[in-house]
Amino acid sequence: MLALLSLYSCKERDDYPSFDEPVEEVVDQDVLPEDNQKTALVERIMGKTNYIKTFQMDTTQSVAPGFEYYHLRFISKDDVPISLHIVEIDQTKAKATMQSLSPYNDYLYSAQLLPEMIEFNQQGASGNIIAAMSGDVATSNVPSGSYVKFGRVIKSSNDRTKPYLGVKKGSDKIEFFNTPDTLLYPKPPIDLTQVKHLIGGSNFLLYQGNQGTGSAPLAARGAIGISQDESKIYLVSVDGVLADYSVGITYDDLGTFMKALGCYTAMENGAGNTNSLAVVDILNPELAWIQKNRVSIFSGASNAIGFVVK
Amino acid sequence: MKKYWFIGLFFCLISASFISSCSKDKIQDFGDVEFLDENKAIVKINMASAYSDDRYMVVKFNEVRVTPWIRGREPYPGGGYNTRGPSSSEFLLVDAGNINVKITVPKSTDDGTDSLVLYTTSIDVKAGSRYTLHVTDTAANTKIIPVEETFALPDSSYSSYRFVHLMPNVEAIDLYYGFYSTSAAGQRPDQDSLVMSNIKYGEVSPTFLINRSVTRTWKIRPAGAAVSNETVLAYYANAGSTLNQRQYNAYAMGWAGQTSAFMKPYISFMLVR
Repeated sequence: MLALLSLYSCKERDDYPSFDEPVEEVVDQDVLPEDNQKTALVERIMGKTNYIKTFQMDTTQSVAPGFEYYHLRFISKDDVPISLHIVEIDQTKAKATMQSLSPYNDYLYSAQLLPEMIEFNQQGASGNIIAAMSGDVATSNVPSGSYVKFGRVIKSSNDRTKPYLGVKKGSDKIEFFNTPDTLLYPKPPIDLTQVKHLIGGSNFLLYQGNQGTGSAPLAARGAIGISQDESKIYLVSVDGVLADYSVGITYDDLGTFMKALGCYTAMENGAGNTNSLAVVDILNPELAWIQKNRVSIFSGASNAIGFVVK
Repeated sequence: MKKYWFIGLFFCLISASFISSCSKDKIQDFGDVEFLDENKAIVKINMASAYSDDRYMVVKFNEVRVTPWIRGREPYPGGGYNTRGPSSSEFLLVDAGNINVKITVPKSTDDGTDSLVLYTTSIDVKAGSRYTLHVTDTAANTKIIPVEETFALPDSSYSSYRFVHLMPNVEAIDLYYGFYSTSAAGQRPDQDSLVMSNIKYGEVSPTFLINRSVTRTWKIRPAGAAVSNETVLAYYANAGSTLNQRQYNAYAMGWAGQTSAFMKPYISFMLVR
């Protein structure tokens, strides 16, 4: 009797949702538009490397004077799909400089999605931030290498073979710091007191035209390179790992690609889900930035490299 | 037979209790609530008088005790972080108008009378308003700094603050936050950011918002002091000081140069909302 009364008193609820009718999940179809015309940049890359086996499409957009954005999709030499983003900065037109970007425009170790980070850092920037890439590899949001913003040394490291991109005090020239091999390419250590902005990368891909070698597997990766005459800066981000869309790129292939692009020196930034490339929204140039690359799940970056036009 | 009748009655009572216990309308009565009418105001006390003997004090409004025995760094009602109160933000409901406020020391055997009156003042309390009465300094120098509070809910992911300087032997203070560490040796001045500068003794800073993206260490230094570990008067690192959409009175109290737990400098966070 107790059991019956208990059942009655807690009678069936009537506010559950109904699960009788299955709801079909709508999946966006990945339809590649027909594209029979390659841009000159892609023609140049394909002329210098066999990494692109089958061209599928490319698009281009001028986001600011001297800043050209490209989205390229192709089948690689390994018969896997690749989606890849390039920002070409023509320094003869852009005259861009670099600024370290920090999460929430603060000095604390944290992480933030790149478009938001740019928005925070635009306040107090020396000009308009046109494009940006995620920076150093990090553990628990602490960048692995030295980290300088507006002359303030937020973190210092003695590693002399880790690549850095930065600008010195009293200068707007964007340059690489350190060397991949202190014996082969001797270079004095970085004097952090003379640096205005400095952000680390994970490895040199190219140094003075010579390509490094590594065994890093397929992953979403980003890289920054500069041509020998320093007139061009290239930001590259490879989407991944997204099945049937873009499987990512290896360290070696990324080095090959940067060389084919025309880089003389290049470094790889943090790989994986922190890998981010964003450009200014041309429809909303002072307020919004658009994340261009894709990874499986974005996680915030611990610092980033902004390209600023005064 | 008599025994079976008793068991039957027991089952009926149990059954009735089951049926009533599953009623869907049971949480309707919030109790008697006295709402803030047009003649009322709300007030809280921030007791920031630091004595070496950690003495108890009592606050009276119009000769009536409105606090229990409270000590330095013990707001009432409510509390906050790095205070001796709870982590809540209550206020006292008072009649608007002119209030005679007394800070007294009770007798050790409390008979309801005062052993010593430390400070007496009159405060005009506007109807519908909110106030914090900051009690600072000691003995004959005891005084109250009344501050009107505004309740403004910050956006999600932000906390709202005002900084109050209640440390009598420091002329002015700079407020910083920096890298999170609960130890003095773990502080990293290279990540410090100046939040409010040159807040003079007894002054209240403008309201400021902090993005609560990461837990941080709050620090106070004498105004203009070098940004180093040596110049830090007090620091506090706790996630409770950056809770989502909370409103705080951050305050400096204690005595520069003192090291005992009762007298040393503190940076504390009293919850307003």
